[in-house]
Amino acid sequence: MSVDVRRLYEDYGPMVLRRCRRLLGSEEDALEAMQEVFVRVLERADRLDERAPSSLLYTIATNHCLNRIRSASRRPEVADGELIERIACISDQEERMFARLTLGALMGRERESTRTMAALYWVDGMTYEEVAGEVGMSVSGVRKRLRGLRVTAQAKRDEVAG
Amino acid sequence: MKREERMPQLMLERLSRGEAEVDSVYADRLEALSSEELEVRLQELRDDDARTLAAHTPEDMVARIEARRASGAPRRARRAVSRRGGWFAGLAVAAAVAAAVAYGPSVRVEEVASASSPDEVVRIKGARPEVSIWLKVGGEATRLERGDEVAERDVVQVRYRSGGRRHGVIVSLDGRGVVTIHHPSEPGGSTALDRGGDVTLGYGYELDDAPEYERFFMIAADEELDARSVSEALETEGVDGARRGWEVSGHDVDEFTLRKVVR
Repeated sequence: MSVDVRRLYEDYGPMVLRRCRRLLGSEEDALEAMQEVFVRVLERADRLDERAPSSLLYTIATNHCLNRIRSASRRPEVADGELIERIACISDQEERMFARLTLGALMGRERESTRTMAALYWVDGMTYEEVAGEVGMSVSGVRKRLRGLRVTAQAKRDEVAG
Repeated sequence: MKREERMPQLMLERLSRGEAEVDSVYADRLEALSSEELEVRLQELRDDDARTLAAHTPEDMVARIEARRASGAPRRARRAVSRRGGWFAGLAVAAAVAAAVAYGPSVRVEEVASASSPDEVVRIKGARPEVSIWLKVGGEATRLERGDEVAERDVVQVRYRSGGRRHGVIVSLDGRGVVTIHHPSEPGGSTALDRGGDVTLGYGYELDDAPEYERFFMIAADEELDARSVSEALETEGVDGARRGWEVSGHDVDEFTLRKVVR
């Protein structure tokens, strides 16, 4: 066992657990996901940024939890809408609608990085600039990806409305 | 509440850990916050940190994390890396010790298929996805090295090793910015990888007169990928942007670049 793993957990474990709890709801699932996130981080230690390790751990946790949610949503006993409703706790009516529809669409074929960006934008309420800063992409790149999702979500809403 | 009036959780987490960079990313938002309100939220985080560490002690959690790593769940390629100083250097060393091997692009991937299930693949050492390019001349194929020269009308063959990953997309980007999807054979096809060692794609690829280079990328993951999205990312975001996106997603990326010359 390395003392550094301990330090990593002491410094960031509570943050990762909070993130997993927020997205997954269940304490048991969150605890398991948190351990998996650390395994993943340790295997990718070369990508850790000493200046801002929180960002990487947080986005990996987000991505990992969205994957778990997506896997769960493929099971018929779990309703997509309920999951999305739970994670997209946004008070603004219009934002909330887009979050639900967009994150719902996201669970399908979108890239993992797009899902992570969407979660940071719609679940966490970050701005395009903040999302770009955290995931290391250009603002225009983030804007373009999320604009594409809005179009998809709008089309889905129109489809539902008939 | 407007987006700008909320306090993103990541911003608070970074602030509570004193990460200096946070100021530049969230400058506008921080300026609008009252220091009292911010302090309340940060104290809540610190209290929750303490509760978590008391309920899930470092001893217990580190043991669980190490056990999970040792058991290979989730299964991932393990990399031996070097880092600059600080405690991350120790982390890298720990990862290297756990993986028990340092390796480069040419290290062999060794996998043992379980008798009980084709999905149960055990990595022995140094596994990571790798793409290689072979030059076909007549009936023979010669392995090219990264950076080798090729020319218009050369026919190349694409091979890969899965590194234990279940899915992958192989694309190439030429000097005109045109992206070609090599695996899957159809853009909407299955991205499942054959995990049995060296795999040769079933067709040759004749190079055209695009200048400068042909860059091949293998993007590998444990879940189904969308080849169209991979292609689109390269076209719209360029190599650096696309690579960042893939790496943020936890995908493995291997690149093999050939230089184009006129003969």
